Amino acid sequence: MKAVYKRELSAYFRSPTGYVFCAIYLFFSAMYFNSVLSTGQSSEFPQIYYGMLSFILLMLPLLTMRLFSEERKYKTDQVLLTSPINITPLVLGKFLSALTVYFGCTVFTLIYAVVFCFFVSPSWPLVIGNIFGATLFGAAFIAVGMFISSTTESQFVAAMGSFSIATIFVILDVIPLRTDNEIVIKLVNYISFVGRYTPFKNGILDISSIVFFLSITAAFIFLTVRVLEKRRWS
Amino acid sequence: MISVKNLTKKYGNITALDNVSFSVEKGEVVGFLGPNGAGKSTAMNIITGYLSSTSGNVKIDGFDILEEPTDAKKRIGYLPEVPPLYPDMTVDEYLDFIYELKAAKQKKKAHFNEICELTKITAVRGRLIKNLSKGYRQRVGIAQALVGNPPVLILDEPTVGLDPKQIIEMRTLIKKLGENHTVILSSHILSEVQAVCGRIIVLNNGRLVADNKAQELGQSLNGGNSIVLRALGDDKRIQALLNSVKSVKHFSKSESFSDGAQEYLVNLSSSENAREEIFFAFASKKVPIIEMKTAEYSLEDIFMSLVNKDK
Repeated sequence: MKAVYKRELSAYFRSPTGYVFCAIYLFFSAMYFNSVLSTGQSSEFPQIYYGMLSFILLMLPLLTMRLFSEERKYKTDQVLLTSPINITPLVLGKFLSALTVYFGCTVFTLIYAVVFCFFVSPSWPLVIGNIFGATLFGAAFIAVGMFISSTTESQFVAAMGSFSIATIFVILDVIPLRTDNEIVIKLVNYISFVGRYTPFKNGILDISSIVFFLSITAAFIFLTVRVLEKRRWS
Repeated sequence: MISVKNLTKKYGNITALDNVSFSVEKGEVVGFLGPNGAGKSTAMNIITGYLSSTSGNVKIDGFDILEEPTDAKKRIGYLPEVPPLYPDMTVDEYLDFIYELKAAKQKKKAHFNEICELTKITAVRGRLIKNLSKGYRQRVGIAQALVGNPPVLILDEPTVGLDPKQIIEMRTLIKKLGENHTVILSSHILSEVQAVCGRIIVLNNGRLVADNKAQELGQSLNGGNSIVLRALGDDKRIQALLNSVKSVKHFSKSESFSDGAQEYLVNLSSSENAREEIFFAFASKKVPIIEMKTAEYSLEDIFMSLVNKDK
């Protein structure tokens, strides 16, 4: 697992992918920071993360598209699958490498909190809680994107696949604003990634949200393993 | 060392491998020979655990590739048809990755030096793989298979795409590797397999059609004792002369050349003095023989004869 993790992580920064992702992430989060700063209220701090969520969904395909598609294109999956290592640690190594890049960007936002300290004292539990929530949120979608990447040989198709799903999630969140139907609102909030994030924004460590994100992550890691396993038998 | 039993692989309705069984002893160098689509790569992919078989089993040193994959895979170094290289890494970084992936135990520096020396890639160790030529990539692919010093090497068409000089180097390398490894390599070129392998397994349409020692395979085919004869002269005279030689069974014209030479494929009943007889017969009538050589069998001939025998 360590070997795959190390290789994948370094691969992000051998190509522009890693830099582009970090740059876009930091650009948008800085914009939100700027707008939060102009309100002058420390309680608005989570808005940096909350506002970022849609962008994160749309950006993560950048990180996940190459995970398995590239291996198939270059036929390097042959060396991975014929090496004395099981498929699960292999998938986990790849998953963790994408998560690390994402997590690195998220942790970087702590700088904003430090800047805040010059003016007001931010609520640290709120800040840490939001970083924790944003990490879970990203992990779940990275797992989804990785699964899509494992089903195709083309990075482009993988990116478009995850991008479409991200778009659906983003559009989903608009529905509650346009309807009064309680069942629809409840249903959307139940499956919406952004909806699930709301408790973190409000400073609540919501167990059901944590479980939701963790189970999505686990389910799609499992599905990725199955896809790779199945290919041997086809 | 390698035991393959009743291996069958089906892709939907297509049978890629049909009940193939063979075993390879320790230290043997075995060649898989067959035309494109014969099932060579499929067989290799199954032996190395990349694909699963529809039925049958593969054991490496007693470990089943599906039931004890870690133990079995530890013992195999595999060079697939397309070398599995990451273009964005340097050779050293790549070997490092493979070393960790295989959890190799050897002392890294000395081990890498040895492998790079053997495969002659020392000069390019610091270069990005995407900038390497096809020949070097192929060798890095072999170096990758050698990491961890596995006792079994599976090489899928190791000489494809190389220039003649590299092909000779590659053969020398494989021969050298054969001294202390068990090797299976595949090819669709007969002379190549004959040059390096002690034993040849011929596959056709997913079926094993022959499993012989390299020399025996040639001999069994040479039963007909054919030679190619090129002589200067008109057809009538040459044909009359050939008819006059007792040991000539039959002959057929294969080509005529602009310089007046005619080429014949001549089938001999016995090889002992046949060539001398032909030579003297032609010399006495002053018909110069420009060329006389043993007919070389192409892979197609081998298949024709093997498949015909099979029927």
